[in-house]
Amino acid sequence: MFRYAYVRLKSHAVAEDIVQETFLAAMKAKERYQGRSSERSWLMGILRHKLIDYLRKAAREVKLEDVEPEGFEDTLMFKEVGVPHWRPPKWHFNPRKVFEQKEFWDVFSDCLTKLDKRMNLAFTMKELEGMSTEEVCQELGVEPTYLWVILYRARNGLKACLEKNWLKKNKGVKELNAAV
Amino acid sequence: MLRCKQVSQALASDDYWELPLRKRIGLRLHVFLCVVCGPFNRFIMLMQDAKRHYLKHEQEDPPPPHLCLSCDAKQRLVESLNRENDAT
Ligand SMILES: [Zn+2]
Repeated sequence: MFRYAYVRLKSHAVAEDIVQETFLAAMKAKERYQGRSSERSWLMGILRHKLIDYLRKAAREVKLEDVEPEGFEDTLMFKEVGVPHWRPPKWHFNPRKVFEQKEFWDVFSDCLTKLDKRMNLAFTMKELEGMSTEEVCQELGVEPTYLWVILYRARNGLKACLEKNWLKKNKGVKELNAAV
Repeated sequence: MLRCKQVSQALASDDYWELPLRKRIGLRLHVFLCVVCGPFNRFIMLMQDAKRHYLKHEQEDPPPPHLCLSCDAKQRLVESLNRENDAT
């Protein structure tokens, strides 16, 4: 539960608060829990509810304080084809192979917490919590094309972070093995 | 045959896994063959796959130690629950 909250909220203190609030709310609502779902998924339901409330509040703050960064939606390529004119960066390892390794996903969760605030909010709401495009746009006060740009940047940032940290981690393991 | 713009739009608004199978096959086919939008949209698809894998991992595998609630925090949690219990 703590990981779930922390990855999405990026703050130890807030994640801890939310977990605590979840338990408190669960205790108060004990009678209503009828054992239809497992205790874990019941608690996760409460946690998600609180988390989304928090994300909404955070989105409202970001909306007020942020200025619109320049987008790539005005390039000709974007207008004609719906993609920007530059190519996404190449990977230095085969990502699909790496997906099979559990350790990779721990690096992934670390990288999620390193995205900047706006990207993190957009990515968390849209991709991790599965909120609809309309809903996320409304919360962040942006147009759909613009959300798309933010998400693309978030994915790019994630990719760069994954690559760097995964290679670093693997190099460490290899050196360790060589030393032993 | 789907057009690049339709493919990009479909990938922009939704996780392609949530689309009906027929549409998914069409998208994949286009993205793997197209020289114009292929590289870009393959990346988007890959990252959507990554996210799905991650959510599964999050559900099934225990968190690494640095992403667990610390002992202090657990203690604080238990204390506040006890306080609440005493109050009611
Ligand atoms: Zn195309």
